[in-house]
Amino acid sequence: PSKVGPGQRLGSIEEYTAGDGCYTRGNYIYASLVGYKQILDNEGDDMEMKSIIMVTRDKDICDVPVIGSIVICKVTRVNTRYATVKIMCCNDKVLKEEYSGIIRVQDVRATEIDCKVEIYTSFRPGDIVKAEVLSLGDSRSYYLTTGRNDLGVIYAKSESGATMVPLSWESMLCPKTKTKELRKVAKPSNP
Amino acid sequence: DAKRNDGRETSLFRPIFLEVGFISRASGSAFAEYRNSKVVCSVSGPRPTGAGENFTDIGILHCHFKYSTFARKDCRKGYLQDDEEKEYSVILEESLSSCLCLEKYPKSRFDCFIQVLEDDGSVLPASITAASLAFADAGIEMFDIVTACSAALVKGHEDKHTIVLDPDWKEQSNSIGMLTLVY
Repeated sequence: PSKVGPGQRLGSIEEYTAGDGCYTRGNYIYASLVGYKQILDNEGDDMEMKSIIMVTRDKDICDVPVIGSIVICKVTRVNTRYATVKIMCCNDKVLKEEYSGIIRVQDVRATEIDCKVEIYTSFRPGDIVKAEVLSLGDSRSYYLTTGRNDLGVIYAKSESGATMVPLSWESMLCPKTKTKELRKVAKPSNP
Repeated sequence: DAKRNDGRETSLFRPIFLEVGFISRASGSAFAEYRNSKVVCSVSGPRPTGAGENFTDIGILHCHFKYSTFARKDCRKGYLQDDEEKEYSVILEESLSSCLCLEKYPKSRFDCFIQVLEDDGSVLPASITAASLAFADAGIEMFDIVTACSAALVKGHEDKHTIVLDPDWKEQSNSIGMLTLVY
């Protein structure tokens, strides 16, 4: 793989599509990072799809949450209308600094958004939650959603301080005191 | 071709040394040395914009240019930025913001700190080049690497003025005019 720098021409848009670390200007694809040029061949059945050119780096690439990013966040405050969270990871990369986000009560579940969903039965301060970015929000926080089966609480401690075990999509069990606590639990992904 | 006081041709640059990635704490860093002029650049970001700042859907760039107190031979610079340093900070922001892909970093800010260790002329071009390398070292997406150089119109004998590239401190002080080009 050859080393490229920002502004270096990589190929034409007739033959390739731009991937990560590249941008398109006119009829050509240029690199936007210092790194190695890689070409991913199109393995699909679609003969129309071109190979993707991307630039990869040895060091971590700084990522910023955008609409559709899957983020891991920690709940800091809970309110009747929303839960305030600190976004710590974005797309499986740890962020250098935490961004603020909120999960509004109507964005907690995919269904039942009209009826009274109580935030306190979905999240508690200290929970680690997997969410998706809905919008850039306002100057203070991103708007997040957990309205999918695989989104929600992935780690929580019970009131007695033990790590809880998920029971269903809406409850977790404390192994020390054997009490159930209500949470909006994420469906575990297959390893 | 009149030779300059260090023996260079009028269109010859001084030997340049560039190094990146030596400040482990910063996202990116660069050091530029144009013979005796030495400039350090440190980049941090992308960081979330503070709660007090307005909403932006593109990244914000802040540059802070500062001479060290011992950088200049003729005077001792203060601890706070003076007008010249504030002007250079604005020039740096204008030069760099057009080459960074800021629309890929919503709600984020980048801080670029330039520290001049020794001023022997052409400090602004060295800073712009170092800042651009520091952003590349930090892995922030850019359209291109930005480079800069300056030229000075120097008074000669019998009203014969010459244009010199990459002036050093003596040529800069004796110049009638100077131009810095950023590309």
